[in-house]
Amino acid sequence: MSDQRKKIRSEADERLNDMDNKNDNTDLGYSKFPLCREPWESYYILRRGILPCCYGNPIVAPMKDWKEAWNSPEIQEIRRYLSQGKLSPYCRESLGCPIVQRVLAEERKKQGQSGFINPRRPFFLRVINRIFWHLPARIYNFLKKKDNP
Amino acid sequence: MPKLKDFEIEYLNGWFGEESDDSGPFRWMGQTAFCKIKKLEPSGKKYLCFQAGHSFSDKEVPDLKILINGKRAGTRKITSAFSVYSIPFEESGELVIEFMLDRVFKIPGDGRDLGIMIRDLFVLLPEEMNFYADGWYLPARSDLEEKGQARWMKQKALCIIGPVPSDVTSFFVLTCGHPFAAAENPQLEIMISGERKETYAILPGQNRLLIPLKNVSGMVEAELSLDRVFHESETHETRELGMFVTKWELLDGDSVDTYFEGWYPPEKVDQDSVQGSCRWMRQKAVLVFTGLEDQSFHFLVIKAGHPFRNEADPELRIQVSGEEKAVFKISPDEKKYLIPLGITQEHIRIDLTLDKTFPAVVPGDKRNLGILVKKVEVKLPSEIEMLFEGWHDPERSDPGSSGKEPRWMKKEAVCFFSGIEPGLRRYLLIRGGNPFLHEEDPILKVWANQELIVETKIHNENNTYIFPLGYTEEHIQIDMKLNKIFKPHDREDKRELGMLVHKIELLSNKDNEILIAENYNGWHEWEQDNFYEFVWISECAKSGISPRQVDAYKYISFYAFSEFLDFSQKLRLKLNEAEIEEIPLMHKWNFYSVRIKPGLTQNENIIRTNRTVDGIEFEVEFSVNKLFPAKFHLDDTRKLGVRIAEVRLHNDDEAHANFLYFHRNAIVNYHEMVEGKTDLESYPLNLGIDLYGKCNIKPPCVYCLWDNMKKLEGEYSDVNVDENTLAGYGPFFRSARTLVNCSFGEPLLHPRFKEILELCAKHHKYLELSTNGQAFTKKTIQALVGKPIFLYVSLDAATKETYAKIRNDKWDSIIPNLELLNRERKEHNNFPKINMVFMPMKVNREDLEAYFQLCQKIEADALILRPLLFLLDPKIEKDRGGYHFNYKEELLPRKELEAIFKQCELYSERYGVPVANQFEFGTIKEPGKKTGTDFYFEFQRS
Repeated sequence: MSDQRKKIRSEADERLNDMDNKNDNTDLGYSKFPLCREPWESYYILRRGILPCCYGNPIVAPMKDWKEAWNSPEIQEIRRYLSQGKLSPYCRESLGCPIVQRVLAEERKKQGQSGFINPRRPFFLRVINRIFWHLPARIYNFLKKKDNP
Repeated sequence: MPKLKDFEIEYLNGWFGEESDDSGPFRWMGQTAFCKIKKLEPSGKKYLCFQAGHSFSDKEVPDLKILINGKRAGTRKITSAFSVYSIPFEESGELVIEFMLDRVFKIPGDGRDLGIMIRDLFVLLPEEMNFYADGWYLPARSDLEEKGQARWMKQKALCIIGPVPSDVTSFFVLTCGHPFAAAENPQLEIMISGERKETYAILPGQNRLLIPLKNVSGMVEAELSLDRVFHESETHETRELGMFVTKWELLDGDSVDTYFEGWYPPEKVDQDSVQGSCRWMRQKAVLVFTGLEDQSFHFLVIKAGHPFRNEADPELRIQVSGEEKAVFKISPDEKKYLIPLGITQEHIRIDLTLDKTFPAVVPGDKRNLGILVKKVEVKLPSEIEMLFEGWHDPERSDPGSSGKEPRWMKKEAVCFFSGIEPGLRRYLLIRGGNPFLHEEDPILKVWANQELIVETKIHNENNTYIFPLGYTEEHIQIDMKLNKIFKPHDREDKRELGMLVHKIELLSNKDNEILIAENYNGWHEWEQDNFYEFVWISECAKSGISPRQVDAYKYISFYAFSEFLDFSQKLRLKLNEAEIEEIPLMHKWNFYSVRIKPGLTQNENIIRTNRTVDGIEFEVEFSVNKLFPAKFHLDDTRKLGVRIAEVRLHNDDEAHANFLYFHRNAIVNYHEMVEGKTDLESYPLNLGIDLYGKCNIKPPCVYCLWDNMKKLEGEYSDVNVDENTLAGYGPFFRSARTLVNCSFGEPLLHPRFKEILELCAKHHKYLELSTNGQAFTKKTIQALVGKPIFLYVSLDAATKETYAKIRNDKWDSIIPNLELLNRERKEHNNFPKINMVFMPMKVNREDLEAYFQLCQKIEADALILRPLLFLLDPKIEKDRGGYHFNYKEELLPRKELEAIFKQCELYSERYGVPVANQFEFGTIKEPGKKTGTDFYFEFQRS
């Protein structure tokens, strides 16, 4: 324990010295952040299991494995994707997360689909969309953009 | 009771025949003589009184021994000059009194053995006694004695005073003295009823002594005894002379003159057409005050002046019981002076002495005048006004204004503060400026309770000056003096103007606090955000701590809020210009602790030289390496560095060690995150916990995934999580800034709720708790208040009907409990924070505005707009409160949600309720570019 603490300390000191020469710009530091900070900054030790974020689904480990799960391959994979600016397969399954919803919406937009997942979009509209090569959705999106530039 | 004066005394053998002279009949006695009283009725104390004298030399004074019924009653030296003698005795019934002399004389031509002459022999009860009972010469006919009808006492004398009333304190006032200016002054000791009182020096001329008669009543014996009698060479006569008494009085408290001695009679004053009486003081004078509050601190207020403007001002010395209380010059202009007398009895005698007097200017007035005293009072501290003296009337800009207008200070001024809680460190705050535009700035000297505390230049502009006073008593007298004054341009205005003071007040600090004065030394105003009452500092802010605090405390702690996310803003702490720490600051509010002692040892020399009185302080400096860039706060033109709150001194080693561990982890965590590390050495800052697995809402709320979750929890569903579990998370617990409870269960029902909250508060952890609002009790409310907790109260409804559709019929008890919690937290730093959660759904769509009104009513800190958890194909349908709840139908489409956000902005402004929109979770916005609904980003987690 104390060894680990020492290690953390010395590394922290090193980094503090580094920081003196950087960050002279007036950016408050936002630009350096990954897509989502949760898997670094947060950790959930819950009865239902260990989660990397509060929208996470499914659990990555049972409750008793809280010590090990912090650096488990599952969570490390999530971190790896996020640090590269991408959503991991795990995140893509966590549809309750507003970040995931936003990213997916953007992807769908890029693919010419309508933005946010809309649970109430009636089935027949989707059929019509497909039949007409997504033209109604494109017209709709175009008009919407015009309304709210 | 019979008067004894008329008792016949039978002269038996040993007496010569009755003779007579100018003063009446007398008898000579031989060596031994007898008298007899047949039957003396009253028992108790009586006196055998007589006058005696002889015509022989005072060098061979005979001793007279008196025996009553064979028992020795007393012995007296009989001087040649006729004197009064009284022998106290108790016997009654038949008395035989024997007078025995140790010697006899013979006069040539007279064959008799002559002893002494005795006249006026009586037995008297105390009530019948003359004041001059024993040891007094008869009034003789010398000039001096005639004038004052004075009577000389011998070395020892007895006086009988009375009757003294039993219920009030009376005063025995004795006017006495001696005429021998060249001789050594005798000391008089007075015993009242056998109890020793004070000793008084008897000065040449007249002295007026004040002797309180406490706990005595009826006829009281006062025994006077002098330490010396005047020598024949001093008096030029053969009698043994002690002092003379010209007058004695027995007065009740109200009748004792305030102007006791040394004052000319009152006179009407014509100068300045001031009404009322004034008195001239002689060189020496005495003031007496009675009826004061016993054992209380008192002040003498004396309003005086003198008309001798061309002469040097006289100096007045004030003494109480020989102890000097003050020495100061009396200036010509009439002015009030304040003199602390200390803790006094219910009466006080104050001696005033001037170093000079002036001969009266009016022809024919032969008096020597001291100072002209208009008023004297003894006051309790609470009776003294704050702006005591030396202040002009407020500068009223318009009539009827508040009285908080600035005031001109004269050249000298006095302020007085009373009723101060003792044991706190004080500062004097003066806000003002000087009117000397083109001259050198005047210098202000300030004394606190007679001790000089500062000497400083007063600048033109209106500035704030703060002077540390140290640990003060319950009252403080502030004397202020300027070195120059200013004459107003307006010729009509005859005032002398010193400085214009807008504000003068005392600031105080507990021993573990440091002074943060608004808009002073780099601190901006006090403000309040959704966490703390805080102050922005500019690049650098200074305060002070006392040597006592440096000795008593190891660490300084505070909360700081940095706008920078990358630890690039650093806070530097200095003590007396020596750097003690430089801390990279975390984004948002966080607890910090810094050891102050290392700086002290390194720079001991600097500190020791500054170490004088306790009031002199060490300078503590907070500075930042860079400011919060102005582009982020365009509306606020101040220089903003960092927000600081709750600066305290402490000795909690554990808290300090915890902070160091926490802070280093946070730095490592940040770097691991921005560098994209996946295998972390650091631990998370937000720790999700699961406090309790049971809920009081049964069946569960309509949208709750209760059954699924409990299936998922399985065997862990009943596992115990309490304060020991949390502490057992080790580095995960120590590294966490915020603990977030995410239980499927109501945390307020936890049997160890209080202990869990206490653990978190002790370790400076913020705790986020979601509650359904149905578990508030007196106990849970008591556990919550004052702790750094963020409550998320999930109601999702503003009416009983809607609530019944989502949960149950227990709506009525919730709002009164929230109101109670709100009242209680106001007395505890406004913690916990109350956030009201609203998940927009089809069922509560119409409740939105009413929910804002509800938040306003209970003074919630924020309304939390939280998304109903998105489920792709929920298949959850329930019937409750007459409503069919279909989860899929309740999830609103984005377009409708956007409309709700817009409405929220509108309502937020209308009802003054901040909105935190959790739909925008994960988006990072720069400060200053906030929309109406991103209050959430002020929160700790983002």
